[in-house]
Amino acid sequence: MDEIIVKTTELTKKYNNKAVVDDLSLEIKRGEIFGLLGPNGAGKSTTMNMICSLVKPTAGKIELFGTGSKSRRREVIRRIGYIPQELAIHGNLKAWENAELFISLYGLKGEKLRAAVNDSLDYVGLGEKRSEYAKNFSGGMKRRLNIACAIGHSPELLIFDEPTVGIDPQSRNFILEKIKESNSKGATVIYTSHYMEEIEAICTRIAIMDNGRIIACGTSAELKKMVSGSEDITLEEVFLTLTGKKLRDIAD
Amino acid sequence: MILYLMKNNFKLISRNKLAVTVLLLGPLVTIAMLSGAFKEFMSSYKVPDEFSVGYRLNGMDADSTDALKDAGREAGIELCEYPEGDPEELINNNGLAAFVEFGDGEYTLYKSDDHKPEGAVTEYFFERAMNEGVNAALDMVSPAAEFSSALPETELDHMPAVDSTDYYGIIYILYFSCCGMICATGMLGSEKKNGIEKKYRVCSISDLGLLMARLLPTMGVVIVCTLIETFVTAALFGVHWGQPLVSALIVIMMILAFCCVGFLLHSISGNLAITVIGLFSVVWILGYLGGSFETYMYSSTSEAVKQITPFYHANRALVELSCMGHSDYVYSSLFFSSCIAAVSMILTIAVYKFYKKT
Repeated sequence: MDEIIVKTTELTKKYNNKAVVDDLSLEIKRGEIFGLLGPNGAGKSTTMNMICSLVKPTAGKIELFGTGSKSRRREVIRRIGYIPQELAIHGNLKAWENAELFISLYGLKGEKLRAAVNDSLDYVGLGEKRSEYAKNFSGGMKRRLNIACAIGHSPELLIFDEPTVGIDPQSRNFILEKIKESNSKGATVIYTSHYMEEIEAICTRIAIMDNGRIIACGTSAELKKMVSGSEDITLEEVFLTLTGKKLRDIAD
Repeated sequence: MILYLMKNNFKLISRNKLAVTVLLLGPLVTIAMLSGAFKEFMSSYKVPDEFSVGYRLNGMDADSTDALKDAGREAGIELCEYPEGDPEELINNNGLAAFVEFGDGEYTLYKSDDHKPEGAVTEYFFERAMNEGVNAALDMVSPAAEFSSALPETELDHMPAVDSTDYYGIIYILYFSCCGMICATGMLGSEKKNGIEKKYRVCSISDLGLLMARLLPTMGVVIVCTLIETFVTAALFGVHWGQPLVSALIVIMMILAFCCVGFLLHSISGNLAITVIGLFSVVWILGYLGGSFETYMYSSTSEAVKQITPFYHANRALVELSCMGHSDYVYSSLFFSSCIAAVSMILTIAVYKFYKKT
């Protein structure tokens, strides 16, 4: 039986009595690249934030690596790499200093830390730019540095929150390749994006969220069949059919 | 883990050129301006060679005053007895600098608003004479006759005249150091702008660890800047500090206290502008009450308010260390700054935890 890495049970988050995430139950197995799709305000980021312990659930339970124990939070959290939507790097630090700062937060030090810094910068193709200030980097380079800072401690679960926003196709392609490479080395990935082709290209399973609930979940082919009975439609058509074409002017 | 975070935060803070420049140049410019502008002001407080002080005995042995009068004369204080009359009227009508009314086991000192420095010297003279004997009071001038009295202790409220350069040189280095937390704005701004606070929350760093990783590098940069200013002002203006180690400890503890206050304000508001304005306001108000602008010796602030102001204790300790080599205010200054630091730290961590829960 596949090991469950993330399990949420009846997970709910309410703000001012309004449910942003409503009774959400899902399971993510080891080795999956799990895509989370949804319009603005669907509850994707809140779900990710609850999984990362950034937001406290109003109700429900989250189990990571088979444990829901709060006392083991520190141990569990070290096995997660979180790549936020924001470029969470300091512009006034050099690339290697940024990597050192963020990787050290997961308990690495000394020679292990130095090796992890070098490896992660090489991994995202910034090895030669290690001594340059991050503020002088292009958008794509900053995104890659953002990833290097989150993967240096070799996490088992990688959480990407729209990591390809505002970058050129080359950088996007590079990042997607690296996500697949990390997955092939054993990392489980949760990935959110508004780009359907990205989700379709890399995700092994996709959940479509709307109004705080998962309204459909399966492989790309399963979702297409569920909506049209065949695989001849695009994922975007599936998405629009399930969530509607009405504009969502809500902060996510 | 925290050491790497501290190291990189130190780099971030020290690379904030604008804040570090303000921190370095602020005191230099202020000291240069104020020590020059207040030179005349401070010298106006110089005590004349001789002045008169009235006194009245209420049940005290008249023979005991002879030694005191002799000692006073040598100190430039002419003691004139006035058996009757209202002390304040006697001061006004006879041009007295002060009036002392001896009672049963105590004395009351009336001071003239027109002769504040002389009043302060009188208070100092009687304080030492009554607590330690005439010999101690005469240490100011020369050995003299014995005097014994079982009068209660009162608080020393005077120190010898201090040069304006030393006073403002010391006070403004302390004042700007206490505003030094502003140099952390680069680090805190970058954390907020780039969503780095989120990353701290998804790793295993504790709230105390996070506070220390922000606080200690900030203090480090402020201390380095303060050290540079101290040497530069000593070389350029001849500012003289007394007891370097004790003075350094007082200044470092004040830096710690007000950096903690700054981080508390930031944790509550989450806004850099509010933090900077709030910290400057707190330091300005406490500095105003504690002698950072109007010298604490001659300020109109009530004694009770001064006593609860941390700047008063720190300013007074540093200035007295400079001109007398010792101060009774060292411990109270350290006590105040330690309490402020401890309370602010506890509250900051509580606020961190509160926001984490919500």
